[in-house]
Amino acid sequence: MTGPSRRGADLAIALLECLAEAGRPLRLSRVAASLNLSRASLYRAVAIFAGCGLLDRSRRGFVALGPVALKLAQARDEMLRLEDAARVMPRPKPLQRTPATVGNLACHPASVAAVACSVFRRAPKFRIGFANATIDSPWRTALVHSVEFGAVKYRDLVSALDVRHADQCAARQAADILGLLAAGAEGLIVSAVASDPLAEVLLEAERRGIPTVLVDRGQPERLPHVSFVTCNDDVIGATMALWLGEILEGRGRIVLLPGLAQAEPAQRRLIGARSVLGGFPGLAVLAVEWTDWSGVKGYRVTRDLLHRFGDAIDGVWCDSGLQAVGSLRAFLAAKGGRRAVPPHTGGDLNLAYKLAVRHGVPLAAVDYPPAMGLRAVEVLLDILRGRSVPRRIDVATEIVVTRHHSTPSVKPDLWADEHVRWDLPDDLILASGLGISYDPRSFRVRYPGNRYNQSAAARPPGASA
Amino acid sequence: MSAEGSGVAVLARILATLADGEPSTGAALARRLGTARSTTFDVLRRLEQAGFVERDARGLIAPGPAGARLGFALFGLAAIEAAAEALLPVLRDDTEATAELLVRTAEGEIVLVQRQAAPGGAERGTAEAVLAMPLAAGRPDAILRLRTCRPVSASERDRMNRSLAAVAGALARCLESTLPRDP
Repeated sequence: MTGPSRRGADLAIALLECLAEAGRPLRLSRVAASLNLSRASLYRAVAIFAGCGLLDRSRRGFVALGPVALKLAQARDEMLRLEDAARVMPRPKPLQRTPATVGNLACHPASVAAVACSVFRRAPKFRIGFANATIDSPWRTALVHSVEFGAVKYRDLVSALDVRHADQCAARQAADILGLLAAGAEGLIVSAVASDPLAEVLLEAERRGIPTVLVDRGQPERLPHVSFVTCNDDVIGATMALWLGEILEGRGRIVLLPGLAQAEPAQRRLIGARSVLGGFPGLAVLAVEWTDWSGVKGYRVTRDLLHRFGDAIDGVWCDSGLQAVGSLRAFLAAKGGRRAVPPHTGGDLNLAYKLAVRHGVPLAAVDYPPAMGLRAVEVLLDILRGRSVPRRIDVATEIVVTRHHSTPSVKPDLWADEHVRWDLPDDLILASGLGISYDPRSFRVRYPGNRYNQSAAARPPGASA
Repeated sequence: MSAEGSGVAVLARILATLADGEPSTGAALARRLGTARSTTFDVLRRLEQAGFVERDARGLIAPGPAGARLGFALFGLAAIEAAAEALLPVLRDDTEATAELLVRTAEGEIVLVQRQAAPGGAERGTAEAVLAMPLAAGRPDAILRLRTCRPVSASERDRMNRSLAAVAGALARCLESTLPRDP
């Protein structure tokens, strides 16, 4: 025999691992040889395991896994099912699964690639760092709230959450990530300002054995990470463009108002929209104007477009309600009630739905869910416990359309009047995943790492907790 | 019993207890087994390092992925345990149908992994994919199945089948990449 001998619990673990690897009954003599065990030690261990049903010695000279092995697997599955049930938020209605949208699993090979994470396994509780790109819009606030909610929900697994905002500066975010590592973060959640400037620092995290979960934005092919939690931006942009094309019956002149030019989600949504609009030869795109996901800029841009094109604009594609509210207001101010506001796309923000419903504007939206922040926390906690996770997770969302404005290919999961919250603030982001009573203005949260129950979203960039 | 034997015995009893009951604290396990806390905690540490136990969302000790792998290994499916755990929830989320990995034996079906969709009444539709099992003579069939309680249009059924095929393909690749070998 060669190699180190095994004793006690280590012997037992090695024996079980050997049988799991084989997946079939093994000769006792060969097990003893491969594990460098004396036959006496092996036989004693096997007898103990057989006595409780973990192993089976019914076949002479052989050892196999016993019935309790199956019970162990089923006990784990029961535990995971209960965790899963606690995680899944009930929907007001089942998703319609509009015919135009393809299943995400068929779209992205990374969605069905499972990443083994046993190398990251450590004993809880865990110190988590969240490097956030920016805190300059209601959507960013909701994302931070969602991550913080995760730290509270899983307080039995989280020892501290450290949130840092980079104010849309990649250099600052790289410094934030190094700061999180220096402060002892055992896992990172990153909503990336940009990808190339962060590659080296995330590689350093990987070298130190610290796993990273990308959330919302970041180019997974460029950034070292374990999993990417997002929502399918191509489908968001394409679905809203498809609705606009169909509601205009394939004819007319439209303007495209995408969000932030440097942000990958906005780029992908615009690509998705253009790919669909190309199938409507009767639609002319008058202009494409970036809006920084700002209602103020959305208003200014639309006012200028109205000066240029007047009543020629038949429809407005916005990739989010963050700027759609500005466009809607500009049209309402210009029209003075004289003419209907043309169909718009873009949701997310409660005010976008309020304006559309109040003024009878046809609107379609696919909310980009900040609930992905909570999901990212869950994925990171799975990784730190050594569980395998998908390489990519697309958080499901809803298609929302104003009543009577569904089209042949775009069926709503919710009507806008079912989705809007008249009782809650205009700047509420509706797909936060934080429950029906969530109010961003009164959101208070207590977790190790924050102070005075104040959310990190209320802290300006650069300020420490 | 020798010290070596007692370590094996405590480990075996911990796993058998977790197979039978609820997740628990280390102290509660030690009390239930009548073993010294120091011995129990030492064995638990080793089991946790090896992945046979882990902490659930409440911080309690529960069977870990390596423990589940033992059950999968009974049917020659140890190679897909980790991937099945990771991918069945996303299959469920993508299709809003209950997703199951099961084996079909002469005695009936044994469900290894199940992630449930929201309850909604009588079952209205199923979709199944049989996993191709290399070198599987004498093994029961491994099945990936979706069950739904809501009306399913033709296009939705097509979408479910595509998502099912994507995950089944991923699991089959895990099986193919693992060749059985003698110890």
